[in-house]
Amino acid sequence: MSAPIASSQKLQKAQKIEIYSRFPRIPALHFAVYVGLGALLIASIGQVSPSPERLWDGIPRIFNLMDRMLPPETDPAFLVRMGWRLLETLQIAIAGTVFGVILSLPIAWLSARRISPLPFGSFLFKGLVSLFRTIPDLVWALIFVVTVGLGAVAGTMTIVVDTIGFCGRFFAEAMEDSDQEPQVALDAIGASKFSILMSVVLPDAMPSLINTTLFALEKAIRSSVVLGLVGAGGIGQELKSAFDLFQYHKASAIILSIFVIVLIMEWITDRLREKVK
Amino acid sequence: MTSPDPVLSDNTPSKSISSELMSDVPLSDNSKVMAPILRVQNLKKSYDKENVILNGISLHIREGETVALIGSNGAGKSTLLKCLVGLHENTDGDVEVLGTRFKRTATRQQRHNIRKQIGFVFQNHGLVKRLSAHTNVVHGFLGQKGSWRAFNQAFAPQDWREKAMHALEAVKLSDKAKDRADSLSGGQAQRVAIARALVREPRLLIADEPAASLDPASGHTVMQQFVDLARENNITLIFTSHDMEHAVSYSDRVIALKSGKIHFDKPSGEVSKADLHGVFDQ
Ligand SMILES: Nc1ncnc2c1ncn2[C@@H]1O[C@H](COP(=O)(O)OP(=O)(O)OP(=O)(O)O)[C@@H](O)[C@H]1O
Ligand SMILES: [Mg+2]
Repeated sequence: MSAPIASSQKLQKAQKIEIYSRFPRIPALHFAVYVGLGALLIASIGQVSPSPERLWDGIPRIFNLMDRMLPPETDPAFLVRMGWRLLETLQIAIAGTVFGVILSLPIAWLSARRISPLPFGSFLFKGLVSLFRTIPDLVWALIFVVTVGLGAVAGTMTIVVDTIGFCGRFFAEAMEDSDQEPQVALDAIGASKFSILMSVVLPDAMPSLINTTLFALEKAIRSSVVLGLVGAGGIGQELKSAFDLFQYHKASAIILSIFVIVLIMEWITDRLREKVK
Repeated sequence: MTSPDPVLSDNTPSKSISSELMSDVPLSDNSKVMAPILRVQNLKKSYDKENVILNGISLHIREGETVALIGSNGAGKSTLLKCLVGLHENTDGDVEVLGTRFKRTATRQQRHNIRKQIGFVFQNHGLVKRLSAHTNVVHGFLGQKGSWRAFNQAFAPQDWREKAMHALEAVKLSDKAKDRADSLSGGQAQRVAIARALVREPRLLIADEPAASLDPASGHTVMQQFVDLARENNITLIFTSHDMEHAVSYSDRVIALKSGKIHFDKPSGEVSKADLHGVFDQ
Protein backbone atom coordinates (compact mmCIF):
# COMPACT_ATOMS: atom_id res chain seq x y z
CA MET A 1 0.00 0.00 0.00
CA SER A 2 2.71 2.45 0.96
CA ALA A 3 4.99 1.59 -1.86
CA PRO A 4 3.26 3.59 -4.58
CA ILE A 5 3.04 6.68 -2.39
CA ALA A 6 6.70 6.46 -1.56
CA SER A 7 7.67 6.10 -5.17
CA SER A 8 5.45 8.98 -6.23
CA GLN A 9 7.10 11.21 -3.65
CA LYS A 10 10.41 10.09 -4.97
CA LEU A 11 9.22 11.00 -8.45
CA GLN A 12 8.28 14.49 -7.33
CA LYS A 13 11.58 15.07 -5.60
CA ALA A 14 13.73 13.55 -8.26
CA GLN A 15 12.34 15.70 -11.01
CA LYS A 16 12.81 19.36 -10.37
CA ILE A 17 11.28 20.70 -13.51
CA GLU A 18 10.94 24.24 -14.61
CA ILE A 19 7.36 24.61 -15.72
CA TYR A 20 6.28 27.08 -18.36
CA SER A 21 3.55 29.63 -17.72
CA ARG A 22 -0.10 28.65 -18.23
CA PHE A 23 -0.72 31.10 -21.00
CA PRO A 24 1.62 31.95 -23.83
CA ARG A 25 3.09 35.43 -23.47
CA ILE A 26 1.64 37.87 -25.93
CA PRO A 27 4.02 40.22 -27.73
CA ALA A 28 3.23 43.92 -27.20
CA LEU A 29 2.34 44.42 -30.85
CA HIS A 30 -0.22 41.59 -30.80
CA PHE A 31 -1.68 43.02 -27.61
CA ALA A 32 -2.09 46.40 -29.28
CA VAL A 33 -3.82 44.77 -32.25
CA TYR A 34 -6.25 42.92 -29.96
CA VAL A 35 -7.08 46.14 -28.08
CA GLY A 36 -7.62 47.94 -31.39
CA LEU A 37 -9.93 45.18 -32.66
CA GLY A 38 -11.88 45.28 -29.38
CA ALA A 39 -12.33 49.03 -29.65
CA LEU A 40 -13.48 48.71 -33.26
CA LEU A 41 -16.07 46.09 -32.27
CA ILE A 42 -17.48 48.22 -29.47
CA ALA A 43 -17.60 51.30 -31.67
CA SER A 44 -19.42 49.43 -34.45
CA ILE A 45 -21.98 48.00 -32.09
CA GLY A 46 -22.65 51.52 -30.82
CA GLN A 47 -23.13 52.86 -34.33
CA VAL A 48 -25.28 50.33 -36.13
CA SER A 49 -27.08 48.22 -33.58
CA PRO A 50 -30.53 49.36 -32.53
CA SER A 51 -30.80 51.49 -29.46
CA PRO A 52 -33.15 50.26 -26.68
CA GLU A 53 -35.58 53.11 -27.41
CA ARG A 54 -35.86 52.17 -31.04
CA LEU A 55 -36.41 48.52 -30.15
CA TRP A 56 -39.06 49.58 -27.67
CA ASP A 57 -40.82 51.71 -30.28
CA GLY A 58 -40.58 48.86 -32.79
CA ILE A 59 -42.47 46.35 -30.68
CA PRO A 60 -45.96 47.76 -31.22
CA ARG A 61 -45.21 48.14 -34.93
CA ILE A 62 -44.30 44.45 -35.16
CA PHE A 63 -47.63 43.55 -33.62
CA ASN A 64 -49.34 45.98 -35.91
CA LEU A 65 -47.70 44.41 -38.95
CA MET A 66 -48.54 40.90 -37.78
CA ASP A 67 -52.10 42.02 -37.28
CA ARG A 68 -52.25 43.23 -40.85
CA MET A 69 -50.58 40.06 -42.18
CA LEU A 70 -52.91 37.59 -40.50
CA PRO A 71 -54.66 35.62 -41.66
CA PRO A 72 -52.61 34.73 -44.75
CA GLU A 73 -54.36 35.10 -48.08
CA THR A 74 -56.17 31.89 -49.10
CA ASP A 75 -57.80 32.93 -52.38
CA PRO A 76 -57.38 29.80 -54.60
CA ALA A 77 -56.52 31.78 -57.73
CA PHE A 78 -53.78 33.57 -55.84
CA LEU A 79 -52.47 30.34 -54.31
CA VAL A 80 -52.32 28.65 -57.72
CA ARG A 81 -50.36 31.55 -59.14
CA MET A 82 -47.99 31.43 -56.18
CA GLY A 83 -47.62 27.68 -56.71
CA TRP A 84 -46.36 28.33 -60.23
CA ARG A 85 -44.03 31.03 -58.98
CA LEU A 86 -42.64 28.68 -56.34
CA LEU A 87 -42.11 26.06 -58.99
CA GLU A 88 -40.22 28.61 -61.06
CA THR A 89 -38.09 29.40 -58.01
CA LEU A 90 -37.24 25.73 -57.58
CA GLN A 91 -36.48 25.44 -61.28
CA ILE A 92 -34.08 28.36 -61.06
CA ALA A 93 -32.39 26.77 -58.06
CA ILE A 94 -32.15 23.27 -59.48
CA ALA A 95 -31.18 24.22 -63.04
CA GLY A 96 -28.64 26.73 -61.72
CA THR A 97 -27.13 24.19 -59.34
CA VAL A 98 -26.92 21.46 -61.98
CA PHE A 99 -25.20 23.69 -64.52
CA GLY A 100 -23.04 25.21 -61.80
CA VAL A 101 -21.88 21.81 -60.57
CA ILE A 102 -21.20 20.60 -64.12
CA LEU A 103 -19.04 23.67 -64.76
CA SER A 104 -17.41 23.49 -61.31
CA LEU A 105 -15.96 20.03 -61.90
CA PRO A 106 -13.51 20.95 -64.68
CA ILE A 107 -12.73 24.28 -63.05
CA ALA A 108 -11.95 22.55 -59.74
CA TRP A 109 -9.78 20.00 -61.56
CA LEU A 110 -7.82 22.71 -63.33
CA SER A 111 -7.33 24.64 -60.12
CA ALA A 112 -6.48 21.79 -57.73
CA ARG A 113 -2.85 21.69 -56.68
CA ARG A 114 -0.87 18.59 -57.83
CA ILE A 115 -3.91 17.25 -59.67
CA SER A 116 -4.32 19.96 -62.24
CA PRO A 117 -2.83 19.13 -65.65
CA LEU A 118 -1.67 22.75 -65.85
CA PRO A 119 1.74 23.08 -64.23
CA PHE A 120 1.45 26.76 -63.31
CA GLY A 121 -1.96 27.85 -64.51
CA SER A 122 -3.98 26.56 -61.58
CA PHE A 123 -3.91 29.89 -59.73
CA LEU A 124 -5.73 31.46 -62.66
CA PHE A 125 -8.75 29.25 -62.10
CA LYS A 126 -8.50 29.65 -58.34
CA GLY A 127 -8.67 33.40 -58.92
CA LEU A 128 -11.71 33.05 -61.16
CA VAL A 129 -13.52 31.00 -58.53
CA SER A 130 -12.63 33.55 -55.84
CA LEU A 131 -14.00 36.34 -58.01
CA PHE A 132 -17.28 34.44 -58.46
CA ARG A 133 -17.48 33.83 -54.73
CA THR A 134 -16.54 37.24 -53.39
CA ILE A 135 -19.12 39.18 -55.40
CA PRO A 136 -22.47 38.63 -53.59
CA ASP A 137 -25.32 36.89 -55.38
CA LEU A 138 -27.58 39.95 -55.38
CA VAL A 139 -24.88 41.91 -57.18
CA TRP A 140 -24.59 39.15 -59.80
CA ALA A 141 -28.38 39.20 -60.11
CA LEU A 142 -28.33 42.94 -60.79
CA ILE A 143 -25.60 42.45 -63.39
CA PHE A 144 -27.56 39.71 -65.17
CA VAL A 145 -30.85 41.60 -65.00
CA VAL A 146 -29.12 44.42 -66.80
CA THR A 147 -27.40 42.17 -69.35
CA VAL A 148 -30.02 39.47 -70.12
CA GLY A 149 -33.13 41.27 -68.90
CA LEU A 150 -35.68 40.77 -66.14
CA GLY A 151 -36.85 37.25 -65.35
CA ALA A 152 -35.91 33.71 -64.53
CA VAL A 153 -32.93 33.50 -66.94
CA ALA A 154 -31.09 36.16 -64.98
CA GLY A 155 -31.88 34.24 -61.80
CA THR A 156 -30.57 30.96 -63.20
CA MET A 157 -27.36 32.57 -64.38
CA THR A 158 -26.85 34.08 -60.96
CA ILE A 159 -27.23 30.69 -59.30
CA VAL A 160 -24.80 29.16 -61.82
CA VAL A 161 -22.13 31.73 -61.00
CA ASP A 162 -22.81 31.50 -57.28
CA THR A 163 -22.58 27.71 -57.39
CA ILE A 164 -19.27 27.83 -59.23
CA GLY A 165 -17.92 30.16 -56.57
CA PHE A 166 -18.96 27.73 -53.87
CA CYS A 167 -18.44 24.31 -55.48
CA GLY A 168 -15.34 25.34 -57.43
CA ARG A 169 -13.55 25.96 -54.19
CA PHE A 170 -14.80 23.00 -52.16
CA PHE A 171 -14.52 20.54 -55.06
CA ALA A 172 -10.90 21.58 -55.53
CA GLU A 173 -10.22 21.07 -51.84
CA ALA A 174 -11.86 17.65 -51.87
CA MET A 175 -9.73 16.70 -54.88
CA GLU A 176 -6.54 17.90 -53.21
CA ASP A 177 -7.43 15.83 -50.15
CA SER A 178 -7.99 12.64 -52.13
CA ASP A 179 -5.78 9.64 -51.41
CA GLN A 180 -2.20 10.22 -52.63
CA GLU A 181 -0.94 6.64 -52.71
CA PRO A 182 -3.08 5.35 -55.58
CA GLN A 183 -2.25 8.52 -57.51
CA VAL A 184 1.47 7.85 -57.16
CA ALA A 185 0.93 4.20 -58.04
CA LEU A 186 -0.90 5.03 -61.26
CA ASP A 187 1.47 7.86 -62.14
CA ALA A 188 4.33 5.37 -61.89
CA ILE A 189 2.79 3.25 -64.63
CA GLY A 190 2.25 6.23 -66.89
CA ALA A 191 -1.42 7.06 -66.34
CA SER A 192 -2.35 10.52 -67.59
CA LYS A 193 -3.61 13.29 -65.31
CA PHE A 194 -7.06 12.80 -66.79
CA SER A 195 -6.96 9.06 -66.11
CA ILE A 196 -5.86 9.72 -62.54
CA LEU A 197 -8.75 12.15 -62.14
CA MET A 198 -11.23 9.59 -63.41
CA SER A 199 -9.86 6.53 -61.64
CA VAL A 200 -8.67 7.88 -58.30
CA VAL A 201 -9.58 11.47 -57.57
CA LEU A 202 -13.28 11.44 -58.47
CA PRO A 203 -14.16 8.08 -56.87
CA ASP A 204 -12.21 8.95 -53.76
CA ALA A 205 -13.67 12.43 -53.39
CA MET A 206 -17.20 11.39 -54.36
CA PRO A 207 -18.86 11.52 -50.91
CA SER A 208 -17.44 14.97 -50.36
CA LEU A 209 -18.48 16.14 -53.84
CA ILE A 210 -22.04 14.95 -53.29
CA ASN A 211 -22.23 16.62 -49.89
CA THR A 212 -21.00 19.88 -51.30
CA THR A 213 -23.51 19.65 -54.13
CA LEU A 214 -26.37 19.15 -51.68
CA PHE A 215 -25.24 22.17 -49.66
CA ALA A 216 -25.01 24.16 -52.88
CA LEU A 217 -28.59 23.17 -53.69
CA GLU A 218 -29.86 24.32 -50.29
CA LYS A 219 -27.95 27.55 -50.67
CA ALA A 220 -29.36 28.01 -54.19
CA ILE A 221 -32.93 27.55 -53.00
CA ARG A 222 -32.48 30.19 -50.34
CA SER A 223 -30.87 32.65 -52.71
CA SER A 224 -33.33 32.00 -55.55
CA VAL A 225 -36.04 33.22 -53.19
CA VAL A 226 -34.42 36.60 -52.71
CA LEU A 227 -33.26 37.02 -56.30
CA GLY A 228 -36.78 38.09 -57.26
CA LEU A 229 -36.34 41.17 -55.10
CA VAL A 230 -34.09 42.61 -57.80
CA GLY A 231 -36.23 41.29 -60.63
CA ALA A 232 -34.46 38.02 -61.38
CA GLY A 233 -37.58 35.85 -61.40
CA GLY A 234 -39.25 33.52 -58.96
CA ILE A 235 -41.35 33.96 -55.87
CA GLY A 236 -39.25 36.87 -54.57
CA GLN A 237 -40.77 39.10 -57.22
CA GLU A 238 -44.28 38.42 -55.86
CA LEU A 239 -43.08 39.02 -52.32
CA LYS A 240 -41.64 42.38 -53.24
CA SER A 241 -44.79 43.54 -55.04
CA ALA A 242 -46.97 42.35 -52.16
CA PHE A 243 -44.93 44.51 -49.78
CA ASP A 244 -44.83 47.41 -52.22
CA LEU A 245 -48.63 47.36 -52.56
CA PHE A 246 -49.18 46.89 -48.79
CA GLN A 247 -50.88 43.51 -49.45
CA TYR A 248 -49.65 42.04 -46.20
CA HIS A 249 -52.02 39.04 -46.20
CA LYS A 250 -50.50 37.97 -49.47
CA ALA A 251 -47.01 38.61 -48.20
CA SER A 252 -47.53 36.35 -45.19
CA ALA A 253 -48.90 33.58 -47.40
CA ILE A 254 -45.80 33.83 -49.58
CA ILE A 255 -43.43 33.83 -46.59
CA LEU A 256 -45.17 30.76 -45.16
CA SER A 257 -44.93 28.88 -48.44
CA ILE A 258 -41.23 29.76 -48.77
CA PHE A 259 -40.68 28.49 -45.24
CA VAL A 260 -42.41 25.21 -46.05
CA ILE A 261 -40.56 24.67 -49.32
CA VAL A 262 -37.15 25.36 -47.77
CA LEU A 263 -37.91 22.95 -44.94
CA ILE A 264 -38.99 20.24 -47.38
CA MET A 265 -35.85 20.68 -49.48
CA GLU A 266 -33.60 20.54 -46.43
CA TRP A 267 -35.37 17.40 -45.29
CA ILE A 268 -34.77 15.83 -48.71
CA THR A 269 -31.10 16.80 -48.85
CA ASP A 270 -30.57 15.50 -45.32
CA ARG A 271 -32.00 12.13 -46.35
CA LEU A 272 -29.78 12.07 -49.43
CA ARG A 273 -26.74 12.96 -47.37
CA GLU A 274 -27.35 10.00 -45.08
CA LYS A 275 -27.25 7.73 -48.11
CA VAL A 276 -23.73 8.77 -49.15
CA LYS A 277 -20.83 7.02 -47.54
CA MET B 1 20.23 1.83 -33.25
CA THR B 2 19.91 -1.91 -33.11
CA SER B 3 20.78 -3.59 -36.30
CA PRO B 4 18.15 -6.09 -37.40
CA ASP B 5 19.09 -9.69 -36.94
CA PRO B 6 18.76 -11.42 -40.27
CA VAL B 7 16.75 -14.58 -40.01
CA LEU B 8 18.21 -17.22 -42.21
CA SER B 9 16.71 -20.63 -41.81
CA ASP B 10 18.44 -23.40 -43.68
CA ASN B 11 15.30 -24.89 -45.16
CA THR B 12 14.21 -21.72 -46.90
CA PRO B 13 11.15 -22.52 -48.98
CA SER B 14 12.13 -21.77 -52.54
CA LYS B 15 15.85 -22.46 -52.62
CA SER B 16 15.19 -25.26 -55.03
CA ILE B 17 13.14 -23.04 -57.31
CA SER B 18 15.80 -20.38 -57.42
CA SER B 19 18.64 -22.80 -58.09
CA GLU B 20 16.53 -24.43 -60.76
CA LEU B 21 16.02 -21.09 -62.37
CA MET B 22 19.64 -20.13 -62.07
CA SER B 23 20.58 -23.09 -64.19
CA ASP B 24 18.75 -21.71 -67.19
CA VAL B 25 19.65 -18.08 -66.57
CA PRO B 26 23.40 -17.94 -66.89
CA LEU B 27 24.91 -15.77 -64.23
CA SER B 28 28.39 -15.80 -65.64
CA ASP B 29 29.45 -12.77 -67.57
CA ASN B 30 28.12 -13.71 -70.97
CA SER B 31 25.37 -11.16 -70.53
CA LYS B 32 26.30 -9.31 -73.70
CA VAL B 33 24.48 -12.03 -75.57
CA MET B 34 21.17 -11.22 -73.91
CA ALA B 35 19.78 -7.72 -74.12
CA PRO B 36 19.86 -6.27 -70.65
CA ILE B 37 16.48 -5.32 -69.31
CA LEU B 38 18.16 -2.81 -67.09
CA ARG B 39 21.61 -1.33 -67.21
CA VAL B 40 22.77 1.39 -64.86
CA GLN B 41 26.13 3.06 -65.14
CA ASN B 42 27.56 5.21 -62.38
CA LEU B 43 24.20 6.53 -61.21
CA LYS B 44 24.36 9.39 -58.74
CA LYS B 45 21.49 10.99 -56.96
CA SER B 46 21.14 13.64 -54.30
CA TYR B 47 18.00 15.51 -53.35
CA ASP B 48 19.91 18.49 -51.98
CA LYS B 49 23.48 19.80 -51.94
CA GLU B 50 24.61 18.15 -48.70
CA ASN B 51 23.41 14.56 -48.83
CA VAL B 52 24.45 12.23 -51.58
CA ILE B 53 21.99 9.35 -51.52
CA LEU B 54 23.34 7.27 -54.39
CA ASN B 55 26.98 7.68 -55.16
CA GLY B 56 27.91 5.76 -58.28
CA ILE B 57 25.67 2.74 -58.70
CA SER B 58 26.28 0.39 -61.60
CA LEU B 59 24.18 -2.66 -62.28
CA HIS B 60 23.13 -4.99 -64.95
CA ILE B 61 19.92 -6.95 -64.72
CA ARG B 62 19.01 -9.60 -67.23
CA GLU B 63 15.62 -10.65 -68.48
CA GLY B 64 13.82 -13.03 -66.14
CA GLU B 65 15.96 -12.42 -63.08
CA THR B 66 14.43 -11.92 -59.66
CA VAL B 67 16.51 -9.44 -57.72
CA ALA B 68 16.22 -8.45 -54.08
CA LEU B 69 17.45 -5.04 -53.09
CA ILE B 70 18.38 -4.64 -49.44
CA GLY B 71 19.86 -1.94 -47.23
CA SER B 72 19.17 -0.10 -44.01
CA ASN B 73 16.50 2.61 -43.65
CA GLY B 74 17.49 5.57 -45.75
CA ALA B 75 20.05 3.62 -47.75
CA GLY B 76 18.35 4.77 -50.93
CA LYS B 77 16.49 1.68 -52.09
CA SER B 78 13.27 3.50 -52.89
CA THR B 79 15.25 6.32 -54.44
CA LEU B 80 17.07 3.90 -56.73
CA LEU B 81 13.83 2.25 -57.86
CA LYS B 82 12.31 5.62 -58.67
CA CYS B 83 15.41 6.79 -60.51
CA LEU B 84 15.23 3.72 -62.72
CA VAL B 85 11.85 4.64 -64.15
CA GLY B 86 12.42 8.36 -64.39
CA LEU B 87 10.24 9.29 -61.43
CA HIS B 88 13.16 11.41 -60.23
CA GLU B 89 15.73 13.56 -61.91
CA ASN B 90 19.08 11.84 -61.58
CA THR B 91 22.12 13.85 -60.62
CA ASP B 92 24.47 11.97 -62.88
CA GLY B 93 24.84 8.67 -64.67
CA ASP B 94 23.39 6.67 -67.44
CA VAL B 95 20.30 4.47 -67.28
CA GLU B 96 18.97 2.08 -69.86
CA VAL B 97 15.63 0.44 -69.14
CA LEU B 98 13.79 -1.79 -71.60
CA GLY B 99 15.60 -0.28 -74.54
CA THR B 100 15.14 3.33 -73.49
CA ARG B 101 18.31 5.10 -72.58
CA PHE B 102 18.50 8.39 -70.72
CA LYS B 103 21.12 10.29 -68.82
CA ARG B 104 19.88 12.70 -66.18
CA THR B 105 16.24 13.19 -66.97
CA ALA B 106 14.07 11.10 -69.17
CA THR B 107 12.06 13.07 -71.68
CA ARG B 108 8.30 12.86 -71.51
CA GLN B 109 8.32 10.39 -74.38
CA GLN B 110 11.03 8.25 -72.78
CA ARG B 111 9.23 8.18 -69.46
CA HIS B 112 6.14 7.08 -71.27
CA ASN B 113 8.01 4.35 -73.13
CA ILE B 114 9.43 3.02 -69.90
CA ARG B 115 6.33 3.28 -67.76
CA LYS B 116 4.04 1.58 -70.21
CA GLN B 117 6.18 -1.57 -69.99
CA ILE B 118 6.59 -1.76 -66.25
CA GLY B 119 4.52 -2.61 -63.22
CA PHE B 120 5.06 -0.98 -59.85
CA VAL B 121 3.92 -2.31 -56.49
CA PHE B 122 4.18 -0.10 -53.41
CA GLN B 123 4.38 -0.93 -49.75
CA ASN B 124 0.84 0.22 -48.94
CA HIS B 125 -0.86 -1.31 -51.97
CA GLY B 126 -2.12 2.08 -53.21
CA LEU B 127 -5.56 0.82 -54.18
CA VAL B 128 -8.50 3.16 -54.59
CA LYS B 129 -10.45 2.33 -51.46
CA ARG B 130 -13.95 3.09 -52.64
CA LEU B 131 -13.67 1.04 -55.82
CA SER B 132 -14.01 -2.70 -56.26
CA ALA B 133 -11.07 -5.08 -56.39
CA HIS B 134 -11.92 -5.75 -60.04
CA THR B 135 -11.89 -2.08 -61.00
CA ASN B 136 -8.60 -1.63 -59.18
CA VAL B 137 -7.10 -4.42 -61.27
CA VAL B 138 -8.54 -2.92 -64.46
CA HIS B 139 -6.64 0.26 -63.53
CA GLY B 140 -3.52 -1.72 -64.38
CA PHE B 141 -4.27 -1.06 -68.05
CA LEU B 142 -3.88 2.68 -67.60
CA GLY B 143 -0.86 4.24 -69.19
CA GLN B 144 -1.21 2.24 -72.37
CA LYS B 145 -2.55 3.65 -75.58
CA GLY B 146 -6.23 4.47 -75.54
CA SER B 147 -6.54 3.30 -71.99
CA TRP B 148 -8.77 6.03 -70.61
CA ARG B 149 -11.70 3.62 -70.47
CA ALA B 150 -9.89 1.66 -67.79
CA PHE B 151 -11.02 4.08 -65.07
CA ASN B 152 -13.79 1.66 -64.12
CA GLN B 153 -14.49 -1.96 -65.04
CA ALA B 154 -18.00 -0.96 -66.14
CA PHE B 155 -16.60 1.12 -68.99
CA ALA B 156 -13.59 -1.03 -69.90
CA PRO B 157 -13.44 -3.26 -72.98
CA GLN B 158 -14.63 -6.80 -72.36
CA ASP B 159 -11.25 -8.46 -72.84
CA TRP B 160 -9.66 -6.15 -70.27
CA ARG B 161 -12.38 -7.09 -67.83
CA GLU B 162 -11.64 -10.73 -68.52
CA LYS B 163 -7.89 -10.34 -68.19
CA ALA B 164 -8.40 -8.54 -64.91
CA MET B 165 -10.53 -11.43 -63.66
CA HIS B 166 -7.78 -13.85 -64.66
CA ALA B 167 -5.23 -11.77 -62.77
CA LEU B 168 -7.47 -11.85 -59.69
CA GLU B 169 -7.80 -15.58 -60.16
CA ALA B 170 -4.02 -15.86 -60.28
CA VAL B 171 -3.75 -14.27 -56.83
CA LYS B 172 -6.70 -16.42 -55.68
CA LEU B 173 -9.05 -13.53 -55.11
CA SER B 174 -11.60 -13.89 -57.88
CA ASP B 175 -14.34 -14.37 -55.28
CA LYS B 176 -13.59 -10.87 -53.97
CA ALA B 177 -13.86 -9.19 -57.37
CA LYS B 178 -16.90 -7.11 -56.50
CA ASP B 179 -15.81 -6.24 -52.96
CA ARG B 180 -14.66 -2.74 -52.24
CA ALA B 181 -10.90 -2.43 -51.72
CA ASP B 182 -11.35 -1.00 -48.23
CA SER B 183 -13.13 -4.18 -47.16
CA LEU B 184 -10.08 -6.35 -47.92
CA SER B 185 -7.40 -7.36 -45.43
CA GLY B 186 -3.87 -6.00 -45.84
CA GLY B 187 -2.64 -9.18 -47.45
CA GLN B 188 -5.59 -9.41 -49.81
CA ALA B 189 -5.20 -5.76 -50.79
CA GLN B 190 -1.52 -6.33 -51.52
CA ARG B 191 -2.42 -9.30 -53.72
CA VAL B 192 -4.91 -7.12 -55.61
CA ALA B 193 -2.10 -4.62 -56.12
CA ILE B 194 0.04 -7.43 -57.51
CA ALA B 195 -2.78 -8.42 -59.84
CA ARG B 196 -3.01 -4.80 -60.95
CA ALA B 197 0.70 -4.85 -61.78
CA LEU B 198 0.54 -8.23 -63.56
CA VAL B 199 -2.46 -7.47 -65.73
CA ARG B 200 -0.30 -5.07 -67.72
CA GLU B 201 1.90 -7.99 -68.73
CA PRO B 202 4.92 -5.90 -67.83
CA ARG B 203 8.41 -6.93 -68.79
CA LEU B 204 9.80 -5.43 -65.63
CA LEU B 205 8.07 -5.44 -62.29
CA ILE B 206 9.32 -3.22 -59.50
CA ALA B 207 8.10 -3.71 -55.96
CA ASP B 208 9.04 -1.49 -53.06
CA GLU B 209 8.62 -3.50 -49.85
CA PRO B 210 5.61 -5.43 -51.14
CA ALA B 211 5.26 -7.45 -47.94
CA ALA B 212 6.31 -4.93 -45.33
CA SER B 213 2.94 -4.27 -43.75
CA LEU B 214 1.88 -7.90 -43.70
CA ASP B 215 2.00 -10.52 -40.97
CA PRO B 216 4.56 -13.33 -41.49
CA ALA B 217 2.05 -15.80 -42.93
CA SER B 218 0.46 -13.37 -45.41
CA GLY B 219 3.92 -12.01 -46.15
CA HIS B 220 5.02 -15.44 -47.31
CA THR B 221 1.84 -16.02 -49.30
CA VAL B 222 2.19 -12.70 -51.06
CA MET B 223 5.89 -13.13 -51.82
CA GLN B 224 5.44 -16.71 -52.99
CA GLN B 225 2.59 -15.81 -55.35
CA PHE B 226 4.51 -12.81 -56.48
CA VAL B 227 7.71 -14.59 -57.48
CA ASP B 228 5.86 -17.59 -58.89
CA LEU B 229 3.73 -15.40 -61.14
CA ALA B 230 6.72 -13.36 -62.20
CA ARG B 231 8.63 -16.52 -63.13
CA GLU B 232 5.71 -18.14 -64.94
CA ASN B 233 5.30 -15.05 -67.06
CA ASN B 234 9.01 -14.47 -67.52
CA ILE B 235 8.81 -11.09 -65.85
CA THR B 236 11.96 -9.54 -64.47
CA LEU B 237 11.34 -8.68 -60.85
CA ILE B 238 13.14 -6.23 -58.58
CA PHE B 239 11.89 -6.00 -55.02
CA THR B 240 13.12 -4.41 -51.84
CA SER B 241 12.67 -5.96 -48.44
CA HIS B 242 13.72 -5.55 -44.85
CA ASP B 243 13.00 -9.21 -44.26
CA MET B 244 16.29 -10.99 -44.96
CA GLU B 245 14.58 -14.33 -45.21
CA HIS B 246 12.34 -12.97 -47.99
CA ALA B 247 15.25 -11.25 -49.67
CA VAL B 248 17.37 -14.37 -49.82
CA SER B 249 14.78 -17.07 -50.35
CA TYR B 250 12.57 -15.44 -52.96
CA SER B 251 15.30 -14.03 -55.19
CA ASP B 252 17.98 -15.29 -57.55
CA ARG B 253 20.26 -12.46 -56.67
CA VAL B 254 20.70 -10.03 -53.81
CA ILE B 255 22.00 -6.50 -54.19
CA ALA B 256 22.89 -4.66 -51.01
CA LEU B 257 23.12 -0.88 -50.81
CA LYS B 258 25.23 0.85 -48.20
CA SER B 259 26.49 4.43 -48.00
CA GLY B 260 25.34 5.20 -51.51
CA LYS B 261 27.27 2.32 -53.05
CA ILE B 262 26.65 -1.29 -53.88
CA HIS B 263 27.93 -3.19 -50.87
CA PHE B 264 27.59 -6.59 -52.50
CA ASP B 265 25.82 -8.12 -55.46
CA LYS B 266 25.65 -11.92 -55.31
CA PRO B 267 23.56 -14.90 -56.25
CA SER B 268 21.18 -15.57 -53.37
CA GLY B 269 22.70 -18.97 -52.70
CA GLU B 270 26.06 -17.43 -51.90
CA VAL B 271 24.85 -14.80 -49.46
CA SER B 272 26.12 -15.58 -45.97
CA LYS B 273 24.96 -14.39 -42.57
CA ALA B 274 28.11 -12.34 -42.27
CA ASP B 275 27.33 -10.59 -45.57
CA LEU B 276 23.93 -9.60 -44.26
CA HIS B 277 25.31 -8.38 -40.94
CA GLY B 278 27.82 -6.32 -42.88
CA VAL B 279 25.00 -4.47 -44.68
CA PHE B 280 23.50 -3.16 -41.46
CA ASP B 281 26.73 -2.45 -39.54
CA GLN B 282 27.52 1.18 -39.04
N1 LIG C 1 11.70 13.31 -52.08
C1 LIG C 1 12.77 13.41 -51.28
N2 LIG C 1 13.31 14.61 -51.01
C2 LIG C 1 14.40 14.74 -50.22
N3 LIG C 1 15.01 13.70 -49.63
C3 LIG C 1 14.53 12.47 -49.84
C4 LIG C 1 13.38 12.27 -50.67
N4 LIG C 1 13.12 10.95 -50.70
C5 LIG C 1 14.05 10.36 -49.94
N5 LIG C 1 14.90 11.26 -49.42
C6 LIG C 1 16.06 10.97 -48.58
O1 LIG C 1 16.86 10.07 -49.26
C7 LIG C 1 17.38 9.09 -48.39
C8 LIG C 1 17.07 7.72 -48.94
O2 LIG C 1 15.68 7.52 -48.89
P1 LIG C 1 15.01 6.21 -49.46
O3 LIG C 1 13.56 6.36 -49.25
O4 LIG C 1 15.47 5.99 -50.85
O5 LIG C 1 15.59 5.10 -48.52
P2 LIG C 1 15.16 3.58 -48.40
O6 LIG C 1 16.38 2.78 -48.57
O7 LIG C 1 14.03 3.28 -49.30
O8 LIG C 1 14.71 3.53 -46.91
P3 LIG C 1 13.55 2.66 -46.23
O9 LIG C 1 14.14 1.33 -45.97
O10 LIG C 1 13.28 3.39 -44.95
O11 LIG C 1 12.41 2.64 -47.15
C9 LIG C 1 16.78 9.37 -47.03
O12 LIG C 1 17.76 10.02 -46.25
C10 LIG C 1 15.65 10.30 -47.30
O13 LIG C 1 15.54 11.23 -46.25
MG1 LIG D 1 11.97 2.87 -49.03
